[in-house]
Amino acid sequence: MSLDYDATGPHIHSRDSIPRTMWTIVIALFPALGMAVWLFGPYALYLSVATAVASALIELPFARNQFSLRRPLGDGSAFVAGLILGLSLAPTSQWWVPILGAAILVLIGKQVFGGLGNNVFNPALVARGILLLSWPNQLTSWLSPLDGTTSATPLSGLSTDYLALFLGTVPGSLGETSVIALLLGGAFLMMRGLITWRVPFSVLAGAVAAAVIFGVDPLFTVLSGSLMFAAIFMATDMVTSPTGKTSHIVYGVGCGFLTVVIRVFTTYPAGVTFAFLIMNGIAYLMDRLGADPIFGQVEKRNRRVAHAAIALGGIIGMALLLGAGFTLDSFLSRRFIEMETSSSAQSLFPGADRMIEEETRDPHVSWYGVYAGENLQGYFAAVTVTGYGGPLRVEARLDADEAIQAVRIGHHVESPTIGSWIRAGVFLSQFNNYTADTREEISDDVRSISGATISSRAVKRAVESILAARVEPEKSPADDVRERLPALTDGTYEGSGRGYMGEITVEVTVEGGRVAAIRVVDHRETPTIGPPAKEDLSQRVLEQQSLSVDTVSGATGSSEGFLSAVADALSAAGGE
Amino acid sequence: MKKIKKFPIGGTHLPENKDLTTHEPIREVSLPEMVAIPLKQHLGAPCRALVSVGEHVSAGQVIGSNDQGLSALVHASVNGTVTAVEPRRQVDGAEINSVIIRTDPATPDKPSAATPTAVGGPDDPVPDVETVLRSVEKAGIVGMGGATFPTHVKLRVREETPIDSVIINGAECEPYITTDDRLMQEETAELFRGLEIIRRTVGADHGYVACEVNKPDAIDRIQQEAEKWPHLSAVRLDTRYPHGAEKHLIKAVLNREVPIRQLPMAVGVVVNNVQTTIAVARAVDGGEPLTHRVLTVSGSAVTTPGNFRVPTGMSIEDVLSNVQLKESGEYRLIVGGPMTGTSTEDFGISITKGTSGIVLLRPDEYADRTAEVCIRCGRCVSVCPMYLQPNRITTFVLNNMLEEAEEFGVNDCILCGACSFVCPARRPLLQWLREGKGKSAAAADARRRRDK
Repeated sequence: MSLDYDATGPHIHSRDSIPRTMWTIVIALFPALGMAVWLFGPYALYLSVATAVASALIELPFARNQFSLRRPLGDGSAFVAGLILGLSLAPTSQWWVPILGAAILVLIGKQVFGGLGNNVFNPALVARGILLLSWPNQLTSWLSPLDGTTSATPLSGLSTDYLALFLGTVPGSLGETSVIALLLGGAFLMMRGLITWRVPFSVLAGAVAAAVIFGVDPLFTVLSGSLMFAAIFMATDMVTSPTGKTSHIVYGVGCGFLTVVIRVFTTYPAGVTFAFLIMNGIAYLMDRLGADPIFGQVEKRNRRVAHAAIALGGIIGMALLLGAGFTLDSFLSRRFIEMETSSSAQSLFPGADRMIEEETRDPHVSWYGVYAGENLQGYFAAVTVTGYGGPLRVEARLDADEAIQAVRIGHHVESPTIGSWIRAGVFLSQFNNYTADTREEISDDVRSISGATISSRAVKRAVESILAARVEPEKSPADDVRERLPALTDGTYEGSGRGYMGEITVEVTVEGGRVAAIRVVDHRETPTIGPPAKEDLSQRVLEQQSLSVDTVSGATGSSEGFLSAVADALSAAGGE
Repeated sequence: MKKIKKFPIGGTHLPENKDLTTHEPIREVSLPEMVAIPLKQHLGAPCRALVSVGEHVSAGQVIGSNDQGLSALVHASVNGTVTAVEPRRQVDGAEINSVIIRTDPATPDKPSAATPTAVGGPDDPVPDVETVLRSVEKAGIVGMGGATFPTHVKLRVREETPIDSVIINGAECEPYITTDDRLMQEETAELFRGLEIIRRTVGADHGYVACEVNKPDAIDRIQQEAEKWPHLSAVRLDTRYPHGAEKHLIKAVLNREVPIRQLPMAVGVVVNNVQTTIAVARAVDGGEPLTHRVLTVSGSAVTTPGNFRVPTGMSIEDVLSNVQLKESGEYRLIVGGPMTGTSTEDFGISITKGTSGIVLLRPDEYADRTAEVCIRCGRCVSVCPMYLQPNRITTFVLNNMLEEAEEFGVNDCILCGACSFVCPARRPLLQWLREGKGKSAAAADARRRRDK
């Protein structure tokens, strides 16, 4: 062919360019950025913009040839990745986290692979993963501290107020909380043709499927945490996602499904980070194996459609089956737990032939009465807590008077060396003879294993919660006050309660036996949500002269904290 | 109102710029002093010159033929004297033997538009198949959309692949070009007569004239005309590039997918160009040879763009003397449309039967070819009408991994250039794909030769 290389078309171009693409994505992130600043204050602006600018600056030396004063921040690719990383930080991160994150993002996430277009893994996620593993509390300090018996799922204990999740008035990473802001950005990107519905929709579909299969609330799964943010802005990262249409869907579903699997089965609070990094690793492979049929390959396409239909049918069938299993008295799973429990119980109660589940106050603790014939042999109880390395199952044999006779460690993932010492008889036999009445002495009297303090403490907490599970909770004076205001003595009282982000201290003035004024002395709530909520609540309390008032939606945690602080103060006022 | 049809996946929207010339009637050009008529204006073997230097020729006289193999006759487009028979450079860079004729101003060329050949109407009979094919062959008709495949060969139906539908390709999805647009407006009756002749010749039940909705005037005209013809109808297509690609046109109009590496006849369809169809009507009903063609002269550097009826062999320079150019004088010359056309700096190149337009672009409109690194955004994949992965294929081509490139379908590329158009990294994907196809063909050639 004698054609000159330059002579052939197309001679016109869409006028699109890499910088234009990147800055469009930045614009799409504006709603999320705005929400972050509105919710978490100006420091949020520093965190996100500093990460973005630092990323762009650190990349400059690597893109010297492209530098010009017209585009001082390079082609915008580092800026976009930095902004995405910044928006995924916790609002309480230290000032240096953005800069360190940016350095990791550019150097390890991108340049090690050869720069833009060549990196296998999403640079923002690489940086997030490294930060998360190295400084876990910098990225997850928004979590309420887990008490010993809550499950290891990071998202448990958060609000299940769907409207709040949708608007974003819940704790979380900077730009990830507000679903509506993210959807706005996503719609903009779709309008500009930078992303298609395939990837984000598949991510959500995969997550919902996993949620249904593993018995998690699907709507909560979709609305909470960073899933929506990741589906719209991380899964669609151009360099690290596949390009084909079929592979887009497979990739998205994989990302969503793995995210939920990691959330449910591991102790890490960042399902998205690891799930997406894993899927990044096989994106190229997907393009190779999942190449779409060429126009005219009619048979291949028909075959593909048939395969997809079979796979989809299989998945839906499985989900239905499992869903039915859960709802119809969750026959399968109960059977499984029973088998596991009964094998443990049998070794603890030789000669027993029957177990009957007892009611407990704590859903995480299970109690069984163990019988030989008609005779009660004692009780078998078990609980899973979070240990040093992950879930830790503790089982106990109790006699008919509910005193502990033996404790043993079930399935655990503590370190195989020192962590495993918690299985030693010397340690476990210390728990013998404790009962519900003496359970509070455990933490002081039982000696921990030096070197395995955290694991030891987890076991102690577990035994305590086993014993506490059968005891009616004692009512504090404040609880009574919550239900019915007592006769109040005039004066000014101070009280405190636990809000969403920390302690709330209030000062209550009583005049003529009525609550006359409530002043917040100190709090750590979100500036935008907390204070307005308290204004409303004060008003309600003063008007109704009662503490059984409706909480402010979107600020349930703050409301509860505020009310319990007032109750605490009033319990002092009514105590005389 | 009938449904707007389109092909299902891929394609892109281009800046059409058709409003520059869509209302410009087809004009005659001033007679050039010289024409250089290439003896190969078709796909296949070149013709032998039948005239010698000094001989007087008249418009419509056969000046080149080839009895062997695939070929099409070449006619003189003007009256005049042969001054030379010599190789001349063509737009694709090839040197083709051409007949140079000095026009005779006293006896101007046969003014085809001034005395249009009367063609038949809906009730007139159509000659038998062999007569039609002979008339078409004698007129030297080739596919005037650019492929230049000899039409008398295309219309001969093979027994194993019966034809049930004929589609006239009026999509004209290239920006700036409005030749088919104008012809559908001005020569609607000839177009439908030609379609009826083709329909009967190939034994099809139905004929369609398909046109994109960005040409409302043309659609009005063909819809009105279609009511007169019982077996013919007008189809409205969505505006999307490349609707004019044969296989995609069939997919859009009839929802049939031509199997990979096969021709439209595999699904019982013949697709023809608008101008070709009109030429068939004139050749069959009036014995008129193909000596002129209509083309669009347009572009951002042209102040008086228009549509012109041009004798074949006329040079680009002579054609451009019929329009005014912007004064700055800097522009890029493109023969054909801006998507699939060829850029050249040689203004002496001749207009042939397959030249659909001349477009002059200002440098600022011309595509910038500074390729950056692929960011795997996948836009080339999403616009590819053949559902290929241009980014992957070109990577294979650039690394000389021909087998992989072939596995991923480099040879199925239709070279529409949609991928290059949208690429934000401005990678010249189409050039690389073309290179890959060339290398693949060369490798296949070498294999064949070795096996012999």
